[in-house]
Amino acid sequence: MRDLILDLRKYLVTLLPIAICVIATNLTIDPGAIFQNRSLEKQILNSLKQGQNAAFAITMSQLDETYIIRHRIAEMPDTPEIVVLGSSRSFPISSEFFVHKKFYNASISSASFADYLAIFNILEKSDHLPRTIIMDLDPDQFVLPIEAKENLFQDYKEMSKKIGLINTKQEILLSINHEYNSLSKKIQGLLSPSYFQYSIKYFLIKNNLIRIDGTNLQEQDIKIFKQTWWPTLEQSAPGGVIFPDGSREWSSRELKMDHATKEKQILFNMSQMKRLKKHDQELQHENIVLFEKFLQYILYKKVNLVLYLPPHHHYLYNYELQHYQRPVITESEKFIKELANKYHLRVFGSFDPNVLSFNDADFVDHHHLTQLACFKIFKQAHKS
Amino acid sequence: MVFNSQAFLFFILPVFLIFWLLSPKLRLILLLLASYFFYGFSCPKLTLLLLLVTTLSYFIAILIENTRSPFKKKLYLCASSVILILPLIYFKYFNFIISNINGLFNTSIAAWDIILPVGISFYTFQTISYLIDVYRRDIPAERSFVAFALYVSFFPQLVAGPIERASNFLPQLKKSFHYSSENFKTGLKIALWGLFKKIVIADRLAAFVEPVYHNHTQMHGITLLIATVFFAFQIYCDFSGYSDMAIGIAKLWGLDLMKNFNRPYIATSLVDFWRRWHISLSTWFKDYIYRPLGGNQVGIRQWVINILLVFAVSGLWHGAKWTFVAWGLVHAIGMIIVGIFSDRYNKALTKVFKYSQLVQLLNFSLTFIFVNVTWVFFRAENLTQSFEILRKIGHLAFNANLAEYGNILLSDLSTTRIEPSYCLSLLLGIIVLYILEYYQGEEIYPSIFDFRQPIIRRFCQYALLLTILLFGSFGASQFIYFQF
Repeated sequence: MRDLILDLRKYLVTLLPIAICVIATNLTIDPGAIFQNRSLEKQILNSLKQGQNAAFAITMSQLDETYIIRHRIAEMPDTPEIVVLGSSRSFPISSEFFVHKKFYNASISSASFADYLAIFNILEKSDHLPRTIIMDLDPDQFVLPIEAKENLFQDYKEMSKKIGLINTKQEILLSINHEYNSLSKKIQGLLSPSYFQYSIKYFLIKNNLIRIDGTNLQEQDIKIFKQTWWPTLEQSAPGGVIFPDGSREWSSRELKMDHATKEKQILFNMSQMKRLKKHDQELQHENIVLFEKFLQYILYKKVNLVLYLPPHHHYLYNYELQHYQRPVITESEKFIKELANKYHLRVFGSFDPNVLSFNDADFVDHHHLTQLACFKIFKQAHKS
Repeated sequence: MVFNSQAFLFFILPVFLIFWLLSPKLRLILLLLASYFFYGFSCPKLTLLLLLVTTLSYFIAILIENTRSPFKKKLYLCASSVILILPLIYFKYFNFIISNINGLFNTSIAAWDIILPVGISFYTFQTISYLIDVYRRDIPAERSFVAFALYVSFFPQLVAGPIERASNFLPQLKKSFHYSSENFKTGLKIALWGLFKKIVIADRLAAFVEPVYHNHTQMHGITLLIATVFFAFQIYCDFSGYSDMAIGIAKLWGLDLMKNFNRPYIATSLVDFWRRWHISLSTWFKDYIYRPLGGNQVGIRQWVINILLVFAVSGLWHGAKWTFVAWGLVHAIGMIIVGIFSDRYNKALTKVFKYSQLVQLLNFSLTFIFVNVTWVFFRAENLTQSFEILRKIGHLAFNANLAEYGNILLSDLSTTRIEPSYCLSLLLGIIVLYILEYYQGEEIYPSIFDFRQPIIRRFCQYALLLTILLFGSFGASQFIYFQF
């Protein structure tokens, strides 16, 4: 036993400098702002409040959008007349589509119904329920598990209770899970070797010791360079732009892609889609129930609801038609339209690109429209 | 739970410390409980099957030993082997059989929702080998249930081997355990070397191989060729990295597991390759299938059948897919060709080349190329995809335009969002691996970590640690061989 204790002591002493170095680096550089208090989001929020746009050098994918949206809603001087609850597919919907109307686009990337519930709760709590909500829908939302973003979890929980969907047991479990996640993130971040790697790389870039041109970045690089942004009045930037009304412009790199690269990109994105990895697609009962209950609650609050179905690229749409007996892309649209009839709701757009005669030029990628194409849908709907 | 996760660190540290604090009688029980906890961590139900297999083989072995009639002995062995293999067939091959029946007879029998228990192929083979050894009287039947259960379930090697032999492992459990600084030190070095291979080399190579193979229809021959070579090293580092970690962890308690890999990519013939690759499995097949069938002590036709059979079964052991069978059969054909022509070929070669090093180099290259071709079958999703990839790679030989290859490669890399510099870093990793393995010799880890001069030794050890820390991929990724 004595030998064991001596050995352990020896190895601990050997490893201690490395552990201290890792902790110190992670704490001081902290590229993901785990230990700092959202300096990045605060700066962007201030810029938006002053009416300036936020331009990004590479991407905005790692930004905590929920923080910005929550604070933008809370600090609104007037209640907007129109609010968009959506995912990245509704980013292009801007105030220019609705002249003379107070408008806010509260879309967040990869939003699920849980996130919609949470944002609706934030609007309700801050007494900013609009007259009209435009809700962007996607087949994914009817197939994939319902999970709220970490910082929207509490609001999702509250809203779920309001529509009577979460029982106490589930609630406790979810709370514990949420608390555990945020605490364990900090503890893990302290000694995490991968976080240490990010910190080092971030430090080197910041000090111009290594160079990155911003193209073809690995996912881990994207996480590091998220903080490269600037306030501007320009309408475009290589990594995209966020506007004060909550809408966004796509990355100019993506918009300038040639046809061949775009085609490859679309096929690559399709290969990464979770719903296409499922062998048999089926609308999930849990998702359907939550959606309908939420819809009933919105109407009960006397808010007009417009359902927005953004078209999918032909490649994706046709792929699903060919590979599945009952593709969720058509099944979900059928279900949405039946529900819209039942509750007398208006539906803008269709997942099918042929309905509105969209072609490749209308898409940025496999399921994101350009702003012009998006505008076409609203214009046509307005006319009809 | 995987070795390269934080959860494993929180598991192994207390087990290691409590082990030495306990009285000797309780130590095996602790290791047994820890092994069952490790195995049932994500799905506790799986431990029931493990316990069932263990209990059955424990009693059958005693029954075989106590039976005098040779016929009954054989009957018990055959019956128990079939019973032990049945769960493996059900969990691993049932849906495969169904899909083949559907394909053959145009039926539409629905596949069952079956989850493959991790490591089932490994512990099934381990228990069968134990029963055969008892039947052959190579070893006595183990009377201590705890020791036997630990032999079947010992957590470092439970889910992906090495497929340990009872004759090697059980006697070690009889000896009293004494803490040894030397074992601790060696164990840590082996485990760290394994971790390096897994998270610095294999996982980084996977980030290249996976998108390329996943989008193979859009990729060109040159990119697929590079991905295939990278896959060769990925699977080697992934699996040998796991084996090294298993061996290193077992060594912490002074237990020696068998060596599973011996630098397979320096092999100069296919026979040599199989002496170096997944040694515990290839010796298992040799001892329990190939030799009982007559091995090479039979006529040429029977020998060819034996080889084809052994390699086809070996391929099928890896997974319920025709690609694995094809992988095994291509190796079998290679072995048959080598077996028939190697003597004449070597004689002819030594006449042409004066220097034996040149002969070695040529043999090494041919073996490496052949093994890489077979990896295409192993990695591809189906046979059609395998042939398509091989066709694209083969097309390269007829269109040698180096400048064009560069542009094509860059275009493919941009599709998969891989930086060319990342590709170069992978190449560098492979070169470093080759150099370090050169110094490894027949040892299980490179000897530079045991350099005589303390400064150099310490420098090398710190360099290994820092490389893991700075370049390791810490996503707790699964090991490829877990699926087998």
